[in-house]
Amino acid sequence: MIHISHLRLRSITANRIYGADMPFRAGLNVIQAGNTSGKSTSLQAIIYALGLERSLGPQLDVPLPYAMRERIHPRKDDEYELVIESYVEIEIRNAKGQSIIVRRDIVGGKDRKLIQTWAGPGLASGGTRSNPRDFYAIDRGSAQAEDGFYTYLAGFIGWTLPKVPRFDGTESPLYLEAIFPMLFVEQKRGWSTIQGPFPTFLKIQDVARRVMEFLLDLDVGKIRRRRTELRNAISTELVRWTQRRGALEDIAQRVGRLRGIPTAPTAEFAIAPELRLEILRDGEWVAIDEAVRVAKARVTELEETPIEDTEAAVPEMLERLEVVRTDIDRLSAQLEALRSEANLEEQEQRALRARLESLQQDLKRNEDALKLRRLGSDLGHAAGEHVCPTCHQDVSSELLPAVEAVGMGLEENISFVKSQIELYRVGLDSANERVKDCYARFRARDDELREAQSELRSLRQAILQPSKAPSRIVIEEIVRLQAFLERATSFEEAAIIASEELQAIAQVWSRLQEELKATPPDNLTNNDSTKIYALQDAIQRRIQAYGFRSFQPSEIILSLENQRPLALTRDEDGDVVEKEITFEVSASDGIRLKWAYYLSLLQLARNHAGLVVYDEPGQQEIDASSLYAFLKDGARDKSPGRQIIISTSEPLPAVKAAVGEEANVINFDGFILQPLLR
Amino acid sequence: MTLSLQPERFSFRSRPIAVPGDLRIEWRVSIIVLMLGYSRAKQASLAKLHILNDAIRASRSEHLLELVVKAKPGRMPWTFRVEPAFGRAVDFVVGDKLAGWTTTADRSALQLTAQGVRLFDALTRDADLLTSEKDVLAKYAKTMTETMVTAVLSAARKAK
Repeated sequence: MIHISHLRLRSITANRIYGADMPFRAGLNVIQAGNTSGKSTSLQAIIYALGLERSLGPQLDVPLPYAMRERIHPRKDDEYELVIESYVEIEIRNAKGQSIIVRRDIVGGKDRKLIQTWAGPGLASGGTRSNPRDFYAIDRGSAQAEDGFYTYLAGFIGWTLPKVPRFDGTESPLYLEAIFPMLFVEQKRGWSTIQGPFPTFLKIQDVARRVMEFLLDLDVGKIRRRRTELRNAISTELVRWTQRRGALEDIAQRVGRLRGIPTAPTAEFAIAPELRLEILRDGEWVAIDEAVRVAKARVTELEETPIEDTEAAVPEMLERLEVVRTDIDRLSAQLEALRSEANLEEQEQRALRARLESLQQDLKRNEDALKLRRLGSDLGHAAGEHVCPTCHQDVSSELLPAVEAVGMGLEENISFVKSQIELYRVGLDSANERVKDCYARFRARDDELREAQSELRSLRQAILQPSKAPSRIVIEEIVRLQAFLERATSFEEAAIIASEELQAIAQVWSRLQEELKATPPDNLTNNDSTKIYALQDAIQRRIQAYGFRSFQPSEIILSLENQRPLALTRDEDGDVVEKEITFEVSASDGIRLKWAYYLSLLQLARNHAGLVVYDEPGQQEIDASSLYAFLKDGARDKSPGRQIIISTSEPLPAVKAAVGEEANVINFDGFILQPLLR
Repeated sequence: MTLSLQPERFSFRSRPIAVPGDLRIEWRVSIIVLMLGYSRAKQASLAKLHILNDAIRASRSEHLLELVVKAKPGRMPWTFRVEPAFGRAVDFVVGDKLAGWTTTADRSALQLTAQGVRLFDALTRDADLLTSEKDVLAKYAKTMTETMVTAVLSAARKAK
């Protein structure tokens, strides 16, 4: 909870100090003053002091008018004086009864990004302030860092802000700036929509929905959150898996190729991992065990044969020389063929990748087109109804180059593109596999070639040796085989370790998958629906009392998706349909609905901060009687946990009559900011 | 086995074809409204719209916009494409009174009507829609002046 106990504005010129002080109480507070007297300034100063001005729009530097920034005068016809220094201070209180004073300078003082707080006696009573603390606002990190003001403010209010997904795929806390538009209705843009308007610069996905889920404390948000956490954990495991697998594959590539490790963890691998290393022997992939067995047998065989001297071995060597020469020619040719095969495969891989990319873009566009239908008639006839605005003929395929063709429906098109994406993904995966396989074969052949070349060299040298020297051929073959056996063994050891690690990852992954499956679907729970219907009832009752006329109050319902109001109407065929409210109700009924929505939310939302600020609710030349009904309704709420602050320029006696004795009416004649008596 | 003398007739039925997302009217109209809405005074010459359209269509030419806005003109041999579908979508935008014809820098231009501005506001408010397109347009539509458009057009001419 957050209540404003006191607001203090100061604007200092060379000659005097201008200022205003407003004490606020729980319940209804009304600031009554004429037009352009500084009511909005006062209310915006609250937002400014809390560092939340970006919730009104990202471009606002200081959302305060020139009286707090540049020049000021006590009455309309007096001369202006230049503002040298100015600041705003508010005293806020939370549910635990803690009070702090918050100060932010505007002109001439400390950096505007600095927000200072004190504990201490109330602002009104003055006295020494204690426990000063400085916080940074606006800057990156102010919502997450320890000394960021938003972290502090959220804690003060008693909010634990949920993490929400952003458009760029990252996550952020649900920033206070996103929530405050549901507590503070600013005069210029605030009345344009029922919910919000929410700032877009935070780039939070589905921001209206996230804010409403948080304020109403819906289970669906928590379930989704848990699901996201699980998904994130799963993808972390996937990344670890890919890295570990990649590392093992790198080692494997020096010897042969790796089989049996899926590209992503599987439940089967978690239980019974099975991986094989294969090496190329005479054009065939054989299991490493087999190759090792053959190599060992050959070593034994060679070690048992007595070493001949060179002279005896020469005829055999010459024969062997011929064989090796042919081998080298064959291998070189094969390598060339493999190289061009790999090139081809890579080309296909690239083509598939490009196609996938453009399909994904296409999918996004079709999906956007589907979402755009929400805007309905606002899009115009051509886009909204597919009727030509001029000739009234059907234009559904008008942008297509071949006019005779009939275009798919959007939904059908989206699933068509999705299935294509799926297809191409599979294609790309197998292309990747083939490219890898090509390279593995290439490397194996290359090794063979090098071995043959070195054998050729040693044969030549051997033939030239003195005739009584022992033949080197056998010895060299033994050395080559030993080297291979060593490589194979060290790889097998690495594979055993990696296999254990991979199995552990797969086990964690399986467990997470299991939990994800067990998480209930993203639907509203019964509890959630009860909360939403209660809010809907409260809104319907209120708009009735406020003189809402565009629809029967019972025809205004809340979307179950993000709780925005919808109107139930009948379409041409007489079926009941839900329509967006913005285009269906009169401007003044939109205002009535906004009053009702925010008050009902204050009354019912469990995570509400207990504060609603309406800047000039008398918009759109609304009936005075409606406005008084609203003020009376606001005054009726006596709960100590709720505070409503309203500014109005309606005449004072009428306001007083509407709100009764108990509301706190603060009245100003002329400008709110006045020279203070020394 | 006897063969029937009268062979069965083949019949062909046309199946709906997949439509690329950028040829959807709702998508296109919205994009044009966004282009105009992000531009200064909510207006832009037809030439500028064509350039933006080409940049939006494929990420390939997006970095070219960067060059246009940041680099010296004349250094960008950009033969951008003019797309017929875009012209038809412009007609719809005008027909639906979302924008009206005007001139700017001696070029025929479009300017959003009040109705168009309303749609633009609705589009920008919905943070869920057309996100990447909005990012690009918000960045470049505002900063690209008609002088830069002239530079691109003449550079394209020189390059040919």
